[in-house]
Amino acid sequence: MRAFNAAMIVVMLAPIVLVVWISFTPEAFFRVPLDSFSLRWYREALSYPDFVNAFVLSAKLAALAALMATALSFFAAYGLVRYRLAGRGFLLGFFTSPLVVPAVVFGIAMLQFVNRIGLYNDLIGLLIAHVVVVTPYAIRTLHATLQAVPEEMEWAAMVLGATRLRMLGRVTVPLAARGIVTAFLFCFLLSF
Amino acid sequence: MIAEAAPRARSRMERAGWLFVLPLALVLATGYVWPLFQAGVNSFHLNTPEGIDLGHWTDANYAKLLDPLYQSILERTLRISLIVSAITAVLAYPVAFFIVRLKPKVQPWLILVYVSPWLVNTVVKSFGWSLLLRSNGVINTTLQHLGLIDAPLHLMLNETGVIIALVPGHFMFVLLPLWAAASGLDPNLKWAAGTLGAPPWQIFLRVTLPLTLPSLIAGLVINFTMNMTAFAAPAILGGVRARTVSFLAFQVNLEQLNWPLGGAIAVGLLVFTLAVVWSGQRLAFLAVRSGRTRP
Amino acid sequence: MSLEIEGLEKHFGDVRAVAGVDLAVGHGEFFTLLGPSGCGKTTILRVIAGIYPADRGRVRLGGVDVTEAPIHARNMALVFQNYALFPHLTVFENVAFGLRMRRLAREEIRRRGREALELVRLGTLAERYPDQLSGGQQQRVSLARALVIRPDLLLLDEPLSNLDARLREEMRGEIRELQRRLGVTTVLVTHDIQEAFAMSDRVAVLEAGRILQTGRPAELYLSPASRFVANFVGPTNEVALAAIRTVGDGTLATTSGGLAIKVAARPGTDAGGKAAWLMIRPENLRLFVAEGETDNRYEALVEDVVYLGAATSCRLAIGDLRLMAAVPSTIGARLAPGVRVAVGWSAEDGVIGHDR
Repeated sequence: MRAFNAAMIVVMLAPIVLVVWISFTPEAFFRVPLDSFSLRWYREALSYPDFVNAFVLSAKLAALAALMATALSFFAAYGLVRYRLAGRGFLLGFFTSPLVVPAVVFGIAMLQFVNRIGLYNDLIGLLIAHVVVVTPYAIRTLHATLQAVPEEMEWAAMVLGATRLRMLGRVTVPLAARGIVTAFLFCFLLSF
Repeated sequence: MIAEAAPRARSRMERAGWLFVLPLALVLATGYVWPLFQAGVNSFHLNTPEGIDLGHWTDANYAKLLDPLYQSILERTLRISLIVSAITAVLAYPVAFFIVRLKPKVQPWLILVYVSPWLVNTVVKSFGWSLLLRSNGVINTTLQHLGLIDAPLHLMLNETGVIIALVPGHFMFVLLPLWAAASGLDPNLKWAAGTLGAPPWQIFLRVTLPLTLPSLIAGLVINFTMNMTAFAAPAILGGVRARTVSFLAFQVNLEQLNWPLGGAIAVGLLVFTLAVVWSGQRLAFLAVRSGRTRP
Repeated sequence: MSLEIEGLEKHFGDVRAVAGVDLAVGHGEFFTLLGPSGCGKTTILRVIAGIYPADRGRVRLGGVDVTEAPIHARNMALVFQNYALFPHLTVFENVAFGLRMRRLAREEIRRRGREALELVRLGTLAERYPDQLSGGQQQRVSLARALVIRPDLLLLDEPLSNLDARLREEMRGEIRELQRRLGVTTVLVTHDIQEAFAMSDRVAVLEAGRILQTGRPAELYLSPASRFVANFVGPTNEVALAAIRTVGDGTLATTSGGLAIKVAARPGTDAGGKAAWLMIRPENLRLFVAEGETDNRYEALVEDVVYLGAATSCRLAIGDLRLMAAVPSTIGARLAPGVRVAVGWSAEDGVIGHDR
């Protein structure tokens, strides 16, 4: 049993480990570096402007998308958890649905859409697409997180005089901090 | 609390709720529903060298989907997806139950190991797999060195390579719900079955399996969807011999620039996937509450 | 089947849950392990059932050593506190589970399953699922499931603690009845004294992984072997003693405040040296006693009176000594803070106990 599980872990990590390992090879062809390690390729990559630009762009995009998705999903999840809205089950399903839509389907649709309204090659189109794709993860995480924050705490704060918005910032967000950070990290990693 | 509030107060509260939900709903409506809808509409029109002929409605694009070439690609994609899901289902149980028995503090780390393939960019992963699976790759060279094989195994540029790469990539979608269900299993149930005379394999068959089956199926559904729509792994590792639907869609849209057809493929894939998902869920529901009642 | 446990020890990491336990239950006897949470009683039950392996000691069922036997081979039945009904099976399927494991013929399973459900009066609910039943009904299904396999030993792990008070009383009687009728050796685990006393032939009081005293309920209540047992089985007064002397055929105890109290002679008294306490149950203190009516009689001042319905509890002061008395409210009606009253008790009512 232990051997089996060890093998599984190896399988999970193998491609990643291999890619990282190979990145240290000094030669210009593929070889697993067993004796000589080199940072040559890292230096080359970092001095390759297209790569650096793409990297930085991806990072910026991911951060922005994660931020937007987390923020929007936080408010949406709050609305779903604390209020008895008609059709809140449907809404949650709707927000989670991008998961079911195949990436290629959505990609095609966005491509055509973005081209239509002239946002082709523009960051905004890309940003919106990323936000849509990561939203299901954000909303699921934040929905569960907010359900675990006891409503009594919010009432206590409001009874003591806080408006709902202030209460959110001072009570709900700190209590949900772990979930919010998790959602953000998730979205970032996914987007990147 | 809400039931006691006066009707006017109640609707005021509800309105505030809608305000919270609105921003996200708007973003999704414009950036998600609308484009999909448009693509759907497009698929019912013909593509011409001048652009999409919006004057005539037609189902010619969908008719094209029934083309034997396209059908064989669908078949292949379906076959690969089912094999990957089946392998995943079998492997997920031992892994899930191994993790559940570990100390609670250690468990999240192991789960992270299984989640990591999906957090890493799929292109990077596929590249890594190609290094392992190609004719002069790590696996083949090692096996030849050890004298276990004479000629290199064809692990890449065919369906096998795609399957090998997809299993770990989408594994966590089944593992996570299964692990959650296994954690939530009341240990008393196992002990009760034991005291009533059930040996360990019977406990698994009659208690553990039925109770974790819904989670397994939920996970498999997502896993299957991901398999059907995967792009990078089939593209990089499948080669010409193992084209999948997603690659076809890519070709049609970006190389041939035939958007209506591309849209039709997209819609077709979506409908097909949803249909399989729905029937899978129905099957699961029936399996769990099956006619096991006897007088 | 009789049950014997010898030198049982079980620890979890650093915690010694069971630190050396010996007990013997006769065939057909209803035996209870009584103690506060964390005293090890549930652990002992699980070791008997085979869920936990013992670190040391033996378990014998009907003379046969079953210490190493796997759970499914012991022919014992365990009723869990949360019932542990299989949520994906119907009531009937739950009850029939043990029979299926024994590979009985379909007809026999059907017959015995029905019988078991009739025994707990749930015949009409056979096709329901556990989540459609009330707590009390679930508990009865759990019982039926355990009894249908005709176990050599029935183990009950706080089966009544999840029920409301009235249902608890009802089920107490039912379980006891069933047990008597079927004659199955039973071990019950509980922290509820009333439950233990109402249902058991004998009770063992546990604390911190050890048995402090075993005996019939009356023995434990009237002749507790230690302060812990005395306090655990019911409210009691404890009077610190400075000296104990044998006088005639009885004992004279002197409190640290100089009060002299007559106590009936008992084996184990006069342990010389170890700090001694006199224990008197509140209901044994009689008020408004005349001279010579009781062996011990003192003048007391009423400090506090609490009306509890059928009984009234009051706090009395005799010099520095504080005693709680429990009297019928007809008598309690004559009490009020500040009233002087004569309080007395007989020599038999006092029990001298020593710290361990």
